Amino acid sequence: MKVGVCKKRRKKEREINSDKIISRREALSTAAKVAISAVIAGVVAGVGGYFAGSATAPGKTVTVRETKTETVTMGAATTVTTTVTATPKVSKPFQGVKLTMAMFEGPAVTEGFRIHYPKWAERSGAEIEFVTMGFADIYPKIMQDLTSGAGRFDVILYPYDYMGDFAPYLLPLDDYVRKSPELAWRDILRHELRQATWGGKIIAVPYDGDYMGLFYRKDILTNPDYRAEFKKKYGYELPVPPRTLDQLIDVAEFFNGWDVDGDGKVEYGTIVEGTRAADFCLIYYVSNWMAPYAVMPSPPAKYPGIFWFDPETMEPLINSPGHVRGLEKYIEVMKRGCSPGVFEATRSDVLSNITNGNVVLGIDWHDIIMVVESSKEPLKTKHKMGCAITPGSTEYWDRLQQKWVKVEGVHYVPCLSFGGWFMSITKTCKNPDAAFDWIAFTASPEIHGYDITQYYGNAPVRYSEIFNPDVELFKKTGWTEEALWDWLNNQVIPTHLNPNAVLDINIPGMAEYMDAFNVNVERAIKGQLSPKDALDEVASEWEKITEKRGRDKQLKYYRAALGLPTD
Amino acid sequence: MRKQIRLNTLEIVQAIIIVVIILVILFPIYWLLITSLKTAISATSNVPTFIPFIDFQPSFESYEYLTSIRAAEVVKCLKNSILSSLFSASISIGLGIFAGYGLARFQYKKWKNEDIGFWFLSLRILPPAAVLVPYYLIFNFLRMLDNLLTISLLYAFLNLPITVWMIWSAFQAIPKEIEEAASIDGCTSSQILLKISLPLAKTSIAMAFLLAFVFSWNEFFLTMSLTYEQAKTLPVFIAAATTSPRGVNWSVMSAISLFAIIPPLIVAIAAQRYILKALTFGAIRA
Amino acid sequence: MSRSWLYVLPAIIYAATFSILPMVLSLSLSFCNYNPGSGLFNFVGLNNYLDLFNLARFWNSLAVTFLFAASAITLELSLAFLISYLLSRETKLTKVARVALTIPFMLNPVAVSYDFKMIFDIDYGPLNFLLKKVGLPIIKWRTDFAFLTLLIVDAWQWVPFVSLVLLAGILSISPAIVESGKIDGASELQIFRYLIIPQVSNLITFLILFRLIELLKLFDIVYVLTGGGPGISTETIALFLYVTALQSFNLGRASAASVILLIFAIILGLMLMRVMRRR
Repeated sequence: MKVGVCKKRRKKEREINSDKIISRREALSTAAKVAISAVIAGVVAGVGGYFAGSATAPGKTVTVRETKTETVTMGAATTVTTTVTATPKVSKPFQGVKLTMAMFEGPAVTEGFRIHYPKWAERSGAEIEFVTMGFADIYPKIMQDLTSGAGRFDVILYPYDYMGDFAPYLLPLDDYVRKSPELAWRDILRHELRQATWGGKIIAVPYDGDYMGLFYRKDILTNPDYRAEFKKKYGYELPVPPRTLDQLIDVAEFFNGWDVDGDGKVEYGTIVEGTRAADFCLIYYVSNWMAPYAVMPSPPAKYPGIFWFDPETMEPLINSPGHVRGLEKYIEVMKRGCSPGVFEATRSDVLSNITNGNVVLGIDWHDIIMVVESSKEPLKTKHKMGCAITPGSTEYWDRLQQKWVKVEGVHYVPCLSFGGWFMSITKTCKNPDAAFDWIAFTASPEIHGYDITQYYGNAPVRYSEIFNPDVELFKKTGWTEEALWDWLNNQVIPTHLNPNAVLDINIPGMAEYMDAFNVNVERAIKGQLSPKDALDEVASEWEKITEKRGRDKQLKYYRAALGLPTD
Repeated sequence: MRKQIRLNTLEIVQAIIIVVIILVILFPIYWLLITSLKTAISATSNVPTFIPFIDFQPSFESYEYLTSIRAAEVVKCLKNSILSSLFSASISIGLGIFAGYGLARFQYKKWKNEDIGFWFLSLRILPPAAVLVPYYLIFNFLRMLDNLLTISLLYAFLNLPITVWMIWSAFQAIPKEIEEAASIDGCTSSQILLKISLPLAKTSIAMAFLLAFVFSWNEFFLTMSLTYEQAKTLPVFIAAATTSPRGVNWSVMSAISLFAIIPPLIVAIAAQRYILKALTFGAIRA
Repeated sequence: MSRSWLYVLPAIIYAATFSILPMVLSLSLSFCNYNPGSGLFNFVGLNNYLDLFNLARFWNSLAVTFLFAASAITLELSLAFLISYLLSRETKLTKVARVALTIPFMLNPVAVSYDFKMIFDIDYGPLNFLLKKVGLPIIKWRTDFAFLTLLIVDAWQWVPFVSLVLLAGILSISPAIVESGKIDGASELQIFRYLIIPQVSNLITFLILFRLIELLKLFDIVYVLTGGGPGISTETIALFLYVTALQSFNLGRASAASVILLIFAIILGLMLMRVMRRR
């Protein structure tokens, strides 16, 4: 409608009429126009949103084909041809059931689910929608679903540390577990069993048994020239592997800052996490250094593996002289045995530097040896990485007698840091039978035993896996038999059979406790506080958190988590 | 003669400083570019290299990784970013045009125009951090977390102050005579708006649209807090990728950061004259 | 109600829904103890506020935010003056420079932060590499000089913008004034001080308030570059809120902090209105 079309006369006529009529009519027309544009905009918005939404709508079943594109170059996902031992009596007993499983996006840890899913879907007739999320999102998103009662998730895969907060919303599995031959509960490692139990009930099934251990370059530590020089400098034979933390510091210092393997690049002794950054792994690395000094063997301690709180009073133990010494040693190795960049190293830096061979040895999760052995990339550490239990100490702090006690030999206290990944069924699940069938399937010795051999590697959780692994599968993934037995015999078995192993905190408020620890320990690392002052700060903040949440409640949870009687 | 020489030295010094400034601005972008072209291992070498082909061999390893293995995720984030930015900018502009026109042409009796304008501006002061908790709870209740529509609506809200102000200024700059002429000719207000004022102000409006687009594209804080998986945008992807246990790959990081930087970069260079005019419109008015 | 209201109403309603509603919710939540984790939900009156006032970490975040804002604004404004003065001539070079200046603030702060994270890296970053080459000791940027590092990144992003605005202001001064100054025999510096600066003083106030508003919300670059560390020495109020709300899930306390932050913002807003109205 062009300007000229607006009739002069009409406008004048309108002006002659009463104001009210003009304004109402014009108001209506304007309102109509605004409304129409709004509706059009709304329709466009709706359509646009619909397209955007539908393309990303949850509730769409994810097919395995789609997700396979996310495999990492580390190793091709081979098609699985395992034989399922347990054949259900009724074929497709869960026909038509739809489950939703929340899990980490992977491909680490969770690739196995995608690979094995078709087989289970075939035999059960059910469907699972996998909702994946980034690591930092796991806690908030699952927490939010559980507490809001939305009931979106039926099965969840989550880190052990979150169990404390999730537990009230999870289904106890005792009955299922005992009646399931496929799950073979007796086969589960003892420390994993401890972790799977909460308040006297089994509420989770272990899927990944995390722990930390020492990894070292066998070829470099056994080099005779280096050994001679080391002996000259430090006065004792270079231990292969280092058995105590003090030895670790010496070895790291010795190899720090020169080209040890002749590749033209400078290497460093070791690397640890130096900054809190956006992850929370600092507590895991530091606790491995604290544990050998701070944990009393049992006997004489009443209970084994006490590290975080006093099991009678819930008082924080985190600032005991043993813990302080651990932190001091941690800072010492950072200064003496690492590159200057260690002060900004994050978890990923530690992982990549050890696997790339930029450092000679390091304490980290089992991911190291998995990456080194099964990666398709040309790593110079391939088949050269030795495994050992986390170095220990020659004395520990006895908190009952309030003094240092020397030991014969070495006092090892490995930490099951991070606790690993567990699967649980939520209370809002409408088909717990089907859900448990899925869990039993994926955690069964057959399927899980396959998963631990692959590049996305879960750590063993079963006795059968550590004493009787499928050697051929490991070799197909790239492992040498020598590396496999070195790993199992020198690291996994000693760690899981060690009665003093330390489990993570997993009582409610875990995030707050860990945050208080990380913030203050970082200040000690960066020199803002002395280690003792920093840990005293941690202790006082922990007390506040405990008080706020109810000391008696927290004590009960703590004892339940440790498997102690909670009367 | 002497005066000319003195001027030249001063000018040379000034010119050098200007060149330094330009280099300082461009260096980080350049660094991002060359790091994305390095292999993962060489990106973290003790001796950083600066010039492709001379210091190091460029490789497209990181891009290959992104376009094959993480392709699905990258595409999803790109798509989310583009859709949400376009969508929210449109809403912002739509609302802004009406509001801006109203503020420019009408005198509101209840509250002064200036007050309404200031109220919009004051929304800009609202720290997203302060409304994070209620947003989280409300959208959680509405089951609208991790939803493209949600973040688009939020972006539109965040950009409303800018668009309203810019369009208001633009309309104010149009002389009233033109509009009065049209109204004498018998057009209603809305016709005037659509046929006359809008085309005249179209540069500013286009500029406002682009700015709203860019600021939506860059939004991080609220997006990260309110999305999980489905509605992830590029900035969130960049941030999340570094906390993955598998480790940071600097060259991949740089490549994906480049994806995130390129649209605003193009907007900046292509429309730089107008950006200046548009932003300072608001500033000089102030 | 005249129909002219229909024009502004949609925008006003839209904005009000997203601002006033959440603010009211924040206010009411701040009086409760709401922790989705343990299902705690009870009315506690002013407890959350008292908790906050006793929390050193809260005061620290406020101090960090304001200290950073003050240093950043001072730094940026000074640099911007120099730059805008340098670029006030119309030469080919300055034209190129002006184009370059429009780039940094448009870029995604997250991507920029990662970029600088690499540049500032202790072992592999080009900065330390250059220092080593020249024989100087390397600097642990994000460890020992976290605050400074953040200042540098923020300045890189915003000095260009501030310079451009100042430049526009300088260029809008009528040349006649400058000419008359020159005729009177004033030196460049004097012209700058006594003629130019007063003319752009309003612009300066605007810029200060604008940057202050943005810096109050500072989150992105801190999150990526330092995560609030070392310790909590660079934890801004936005970061503190994020941690309290989404990591500790202490929503009551987070709401209380939000309300306090809102009060600051409102005060700032009123100041802004007064300044702009004076013109």
